[in-house]
Amino acid sequence: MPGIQSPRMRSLLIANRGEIAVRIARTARERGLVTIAVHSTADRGAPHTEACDVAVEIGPPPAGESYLDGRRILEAARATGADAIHPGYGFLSENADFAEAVLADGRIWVGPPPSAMRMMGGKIAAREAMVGAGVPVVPGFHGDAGDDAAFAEGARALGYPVLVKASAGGGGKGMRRVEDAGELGAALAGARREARAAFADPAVYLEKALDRPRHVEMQIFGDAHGGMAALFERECSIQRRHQKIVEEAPSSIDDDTRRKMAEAAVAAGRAAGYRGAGTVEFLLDSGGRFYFLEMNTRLQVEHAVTEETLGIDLVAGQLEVAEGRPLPPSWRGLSPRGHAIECRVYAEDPRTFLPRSGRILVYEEPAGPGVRVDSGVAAGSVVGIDYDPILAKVIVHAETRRAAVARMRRALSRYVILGVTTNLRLLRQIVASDAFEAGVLDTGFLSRLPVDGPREPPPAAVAAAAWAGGAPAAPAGGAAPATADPWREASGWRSR
Amino acid sequence: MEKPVSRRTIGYADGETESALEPPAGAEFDTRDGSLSAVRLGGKRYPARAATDGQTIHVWLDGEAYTFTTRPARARGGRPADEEGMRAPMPGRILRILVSEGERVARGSTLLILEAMKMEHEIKAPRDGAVVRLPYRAGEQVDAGAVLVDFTG
Repeated sequence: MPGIQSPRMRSLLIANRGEIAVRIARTARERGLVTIAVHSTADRGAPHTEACDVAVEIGPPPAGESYLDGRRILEAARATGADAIHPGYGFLSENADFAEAVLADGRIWVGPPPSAMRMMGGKIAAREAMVGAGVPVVPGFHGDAGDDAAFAEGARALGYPVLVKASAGGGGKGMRRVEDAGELGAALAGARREARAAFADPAVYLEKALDRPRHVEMQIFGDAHGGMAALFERECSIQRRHQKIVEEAPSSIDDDTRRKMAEAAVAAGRAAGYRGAGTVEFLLDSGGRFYFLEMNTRLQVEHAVTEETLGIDLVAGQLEVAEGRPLPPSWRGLSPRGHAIECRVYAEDPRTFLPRSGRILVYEEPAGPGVRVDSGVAAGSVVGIDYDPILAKVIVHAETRRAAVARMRRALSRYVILGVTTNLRLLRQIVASDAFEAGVLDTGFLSRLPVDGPREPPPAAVAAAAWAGGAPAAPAGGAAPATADPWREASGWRSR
Repeated sequence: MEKPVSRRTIGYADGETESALEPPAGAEFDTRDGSLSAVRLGGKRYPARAATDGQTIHVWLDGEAYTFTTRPARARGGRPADEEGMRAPMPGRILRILVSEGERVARGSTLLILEAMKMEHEIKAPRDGAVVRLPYRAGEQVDAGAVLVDFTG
């Protein structure tokens, strides 16, 4: 096909930060590309800047004036002569206007065509397109923008409980679960406000809330030569605040469901004219029927479990396809080997799931056979409030699910992050639970997990605290030294 | 390497209960480059890390992290406004205030909505009571920990 061959890329600007920018830089460097990091003033010297050959400061800490400012990122690309831009996930990755601006500037966009991003970006339009392509969607009601009476009638027809969702939404923003008609008006108003604030688009729609749904997604990959591959599924049912925290591959769906889901995902990709890496998300109801939920037109956070079970590099595939090449021939006839699990490590309160900030004082990653850590922090890193609080992902791969669970338990027990509150304890409780071991998963998993509160520290921990308090050693990363006598006013202690 | 550890009363609490603890006698400490690597106690060796940050001491012991702080605990029967739910959980902006000063409210009713990280967070009454004071107005920015509602009940 003429006109779609791009020149070979020699340099790549990574328009992101944290673990995903580090991960992309690794593959880009292996391919001999000159790698260009961008960073805000808050991220000077951050691991992602050190993972690249060149680092360009693009603005102050707020994302809107740095990582979300397409104009500044394009300026950095021009200044460094970047041939291509990889957006990672989040930030500008699903912004079709930015993709168009990159292309108009004569650079390679490592992502799908802007038209495909637009089609899938509006959830209402995407649902309608999927119905047209013969892909089953979750029963729902689209209604008119402000007609609450029509929404009430739509909800009644669907049957409560229903979900109010933002058309431009994602990550649980602009989303409300509604148990009965009395709650609908307030939920519509709240979801519209949140959607307008987060996405500048207040449009919402209704979806029937499925009973104990599972969230299973299919990785697809298209090229500019008519190739469209389904690269198997990921199970992503363990979520908090409607965001995934533990994912695995393969899922326990049966082969027939897997085949039909792959066909539906490929149909969705073809309907969108998709190129590059994309993910078609499905909900499975308790009867095993699956429904299109949405399509993410970018690399997923959890792409690594697919890489581990298939033995491929999805970022390398993205770069190949962006250069106009067909899908790697070695990707034909792939089948998953063994089992992979990913845990997302967040700086957040383990009970309220709200982001936490601080400086990382001590940092040690787990290691060993089948253990991969994609991280974007180090000792001394300041975890601020301006960005998503993801710190790292722990990915394990083993011959069987059982072995992978054991491997994840060991890996998490050897991950040291001190100085900022993380969800590591919650992750350990999840993978230690009988329900997780049994693989009985649905999106309500976490709400049923009996979570222990903080444990009273054992004597050895108290001894360690006394050791540290008695002689404040300067920790790696140069934290503030302890006060002369931190025990002096220890009239009452509280854990944080 | 062993070094003397002064024996002082250490308190620890999970936010609801508070207890006084004492460092155990007979603990020995392994270090690496001046940092704690293990605690030996009762014939067992526990991998350990520790770091201090101002008045806070962070400890990792064999897979679990613990935090100690010397900040004064809230007084018993303390002002309800100290309750965590009445404070801003993170920096944000007051989106809407649904009550007025002096208003009596039922437990669980939404008092105001805070917008932070582009999400809405409802601040609810911890029990039946009355709103004494509302220090902020809609649209105002607040810091993490700011008391959003002075509440009595």
